Amino acid sequence: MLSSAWAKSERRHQPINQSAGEAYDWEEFALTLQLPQSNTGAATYLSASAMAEAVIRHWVETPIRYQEQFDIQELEAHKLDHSLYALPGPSTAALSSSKCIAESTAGAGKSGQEEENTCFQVLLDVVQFRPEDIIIQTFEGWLLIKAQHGPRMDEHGFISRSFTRQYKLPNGVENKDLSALFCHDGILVVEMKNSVGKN
Amino acid sequence: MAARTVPHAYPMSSEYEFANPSKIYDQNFGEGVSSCEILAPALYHGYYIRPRINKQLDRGTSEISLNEHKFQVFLDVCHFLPDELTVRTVDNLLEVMGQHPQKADRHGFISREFTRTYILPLDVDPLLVRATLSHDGILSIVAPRTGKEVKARVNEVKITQQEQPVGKEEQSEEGKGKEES
Repeated sequence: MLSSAWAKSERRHQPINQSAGEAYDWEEFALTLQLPQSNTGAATYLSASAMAEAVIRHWVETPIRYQEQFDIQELEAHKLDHSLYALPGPSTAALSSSKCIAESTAGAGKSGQEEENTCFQVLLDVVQFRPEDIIIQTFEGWLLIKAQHGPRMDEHGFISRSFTRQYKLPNGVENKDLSALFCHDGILVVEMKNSVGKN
Repeated sequence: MAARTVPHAYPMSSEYEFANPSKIYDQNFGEGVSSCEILAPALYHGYYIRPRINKQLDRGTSEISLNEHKFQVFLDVCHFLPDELTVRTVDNLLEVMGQHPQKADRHGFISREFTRTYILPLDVDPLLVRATLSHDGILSIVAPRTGKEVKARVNEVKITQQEQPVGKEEQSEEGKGKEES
């Protein structure tokens, strides 16, 4: 984050030096990991930071069928458990499922991207990638998610993949407002940090 | 991070439990997910997984079918146009490459790239490989098998033994004696 702050100041002071500035325009932010096990050094570091910063969401966000379970527990002690359940679950989906399905079949609705004034959330299926393969950047109101992995062996031989996905951020949303979460079952969540508090 | 082996929700078949399934699923990548497509977390082999509605079993698959006469591969490349795909063989490797520039789908803009490598059986002539793309985006690659067993060319290498010169042997023994004393 320091380097991006430095890059910002440099951009402000030297608007002419475009070629040098280009490399710094992209603001990266760290991926917060939530994995049950992590052995290697880098992963331990990341998940440790995740534990430190882990957001305890209000149980209102937990699917109804699990609220009873979390009501009696101390959430601080069950951060990982809680994060597992805290994603949008069937409780809200069931109510609006007919609407959602209609939306997705129509193809008009941006179904992966809920845009309201206070809420921005992107869900992405990255089950084939590892957390260290993924780079998330913001650039002039766009959110970029790049994922790339080199040749890996699977049951049928070798496979390497890469993709870049772009989303338009709502007006005024910046790098610092966003948080990213890599769920252990391969769903990447990028959302606004304080959307829970505002809702 | 090599330890991150989270089993997928599908397929829950017995074949998948073994090492070499002829069909593997869930090979489409970079897909967006909407929150209403995620179902309740379930326990699968001791891991929590969240089954997803949009996981269609018949898409994103790679299948190898082998019989006596032919080797055939079916690969779902529905995200790619015919001219964005390349199939080539390098020795006995069959490489399928796909790359598409940025385009819009229902979740936003995306560009993708992949390289998949299959290993051809020994009795397949790489020059006889044929590829066809179906209208629904399934790439089918066929090659005939000769069925001949490839004979291993065995060449026994004779080992020549070097005899130690008599004089040197004595010297080394003397040296040992000196060290010991």
